[in-house]
Amino acid sequence: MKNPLTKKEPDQANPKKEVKPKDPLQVEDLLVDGTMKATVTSEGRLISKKDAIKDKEKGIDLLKQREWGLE
Amino acid sequence: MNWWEKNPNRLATEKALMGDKFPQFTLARAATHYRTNGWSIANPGQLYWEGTLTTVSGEKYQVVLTYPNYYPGQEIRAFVIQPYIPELSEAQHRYSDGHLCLYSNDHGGKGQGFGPSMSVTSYVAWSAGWLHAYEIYKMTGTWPQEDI
Repeated sequence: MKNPLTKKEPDQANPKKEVKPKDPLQVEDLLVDGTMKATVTSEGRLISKKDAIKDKEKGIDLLKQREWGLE
Repeated sequence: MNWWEKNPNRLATEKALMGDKFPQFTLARAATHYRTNGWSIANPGQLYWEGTLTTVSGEKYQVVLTYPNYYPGQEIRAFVIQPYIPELSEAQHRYSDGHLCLYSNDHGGKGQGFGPSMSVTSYVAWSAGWLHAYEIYKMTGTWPQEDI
């Protein structure tokens, strides 16, 4: 019997989340007024920092990451 | 002497940053004059990163970022080499030699400028921003922001 208190195992069948294509106009705000809230993922997608945190996406800030050296 | 021979730690850090942030990019040194689409991408001996960026629409673009001869004193140049993007208008934010007009350019104080405190990863992120702006431009006929 499975202990309900044990940590949930990661989904091995789907280790990488599939990203659905979307309309580029949906990210226009991130290029106009929201540049400080924009993140570029490792693949190159422009997303909001909020979504990056929610989806645990690795990336860098569009504008702020100018510091030299590793984090 | 090349900039990376003068400052090997700088190159090592750039490699580490790219491996962490954009691992699909590879570093190469041009053995011959690297030309494509009628553009001069890298002179013999110059270092460049090449890799793929994918936008939110799912489109994939082959991008090259070429280090200047004097780095970090001079600016990295970024090119989209595949698919070939023809010149559409002056609003396209690309120079006549094919390299992208990015946030690194000052644009009358609106851009971020560039400096020794930056690495190539900033240019990759700005190139990704440029590609998204380009896709919006294709749809609307207007570049979404003047300083990208």
